[in-house]
Amino acid sequence: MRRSALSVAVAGFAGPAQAHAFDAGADAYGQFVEGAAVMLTFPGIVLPLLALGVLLSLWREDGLPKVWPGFLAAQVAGIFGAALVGPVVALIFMALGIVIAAVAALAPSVPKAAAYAFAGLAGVFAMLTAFEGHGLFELPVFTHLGLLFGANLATALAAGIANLSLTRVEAGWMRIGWRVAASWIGAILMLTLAFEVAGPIS
Amino acid sequence: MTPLSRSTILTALFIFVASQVAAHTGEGINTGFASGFWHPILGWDHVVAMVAVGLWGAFLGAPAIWILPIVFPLVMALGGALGVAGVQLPAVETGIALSGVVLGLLIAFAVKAPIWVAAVIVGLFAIFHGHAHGTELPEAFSPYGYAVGFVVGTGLLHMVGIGFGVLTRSEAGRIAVRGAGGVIALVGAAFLFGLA
Repeated sequence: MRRSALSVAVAGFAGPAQAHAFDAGADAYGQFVEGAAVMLTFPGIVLPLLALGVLLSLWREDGLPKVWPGFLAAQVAGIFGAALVGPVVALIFMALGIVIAAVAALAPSVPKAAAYAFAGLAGVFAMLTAFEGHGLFELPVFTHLGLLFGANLATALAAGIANLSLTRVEAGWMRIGWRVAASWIGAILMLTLAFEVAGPIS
Repeated sequence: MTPLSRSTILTALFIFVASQVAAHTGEGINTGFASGFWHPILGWDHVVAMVAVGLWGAFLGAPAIWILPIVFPLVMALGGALGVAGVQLPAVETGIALSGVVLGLLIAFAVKAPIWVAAVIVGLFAIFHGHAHGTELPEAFSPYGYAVGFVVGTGLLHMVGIGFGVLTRSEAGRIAVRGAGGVIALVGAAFLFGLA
């Protein structure tokens, strides 16, 4: 118990995360790829976005297109707010991802307001987490574009594949399969959060 | 010889004469994934309980057939997180062994519990299984790969249970599944009393 309390305390006062420190590629393409890679390869960022995509397609057939304007606006807001938050935001985003995955698994027929809220929060926190405290345009413009591209690609891929399979195969097991997948994403995220809080294991 | 049979023979030949794959060096996420994936599969106390979850879900029918395999990974991960964080739980190994006994008996006696009762029972045992996985995380392995591996491994065991549970659609199948529940309870009892 004492160790877990210490872990939470340490996480709260932790210094800047080094998990995906930017080293800015030499050219525009390198910067763009670096931004996208941060979004797509860091488990604590990509998993909540995948959970959001699955939830939106389980919510309704046009789930992602419905919330996409708000999702994009939230991402832009996240870019502007990134300098104001500490590294603890990464843990909050993982916790949010667990909630989104659990909702997708257990009760995906959420009210419209909840779907918009999840998309908005995920958009803001994805950027807050990915920027790691960097101020506006402190990173190259193409890195910004890469981050935006990566966030939307991850969400759209999850939503698109789920939507395609759900519309092609109308049998009940397909919907159940995606809810099981959402529970797996939530479970992996919960462990990822525990690893982050507990500190380096290897 | 038809082209199909010729290609089948060639494929089989290539498989048998193939040299060992060298692409995966066992470093990083591959090792972590493999370790996590095999951890629930190579322990009989885990296997019988995971399969029992799927079997009992199939026995109870909808919505339990999918709610139980959804609840289990989420709660199991919570137990795993407690284990990773170093939070001690009492009698973890006893809880794991007991899960086989209880779930096996529920199947053997064809107990039709309400869905919320079933979810609570399964969730309670999931915490013990998750805690064991969390505390037994091997050092020097990728924790993320381990997390993915052990969630996927557990989920596949549930699916095996659900697959066998489909047998309950016939009378003979129901008897076979209830018999399997009895075997699961016996395996759990063997672990509970230190015989395995």
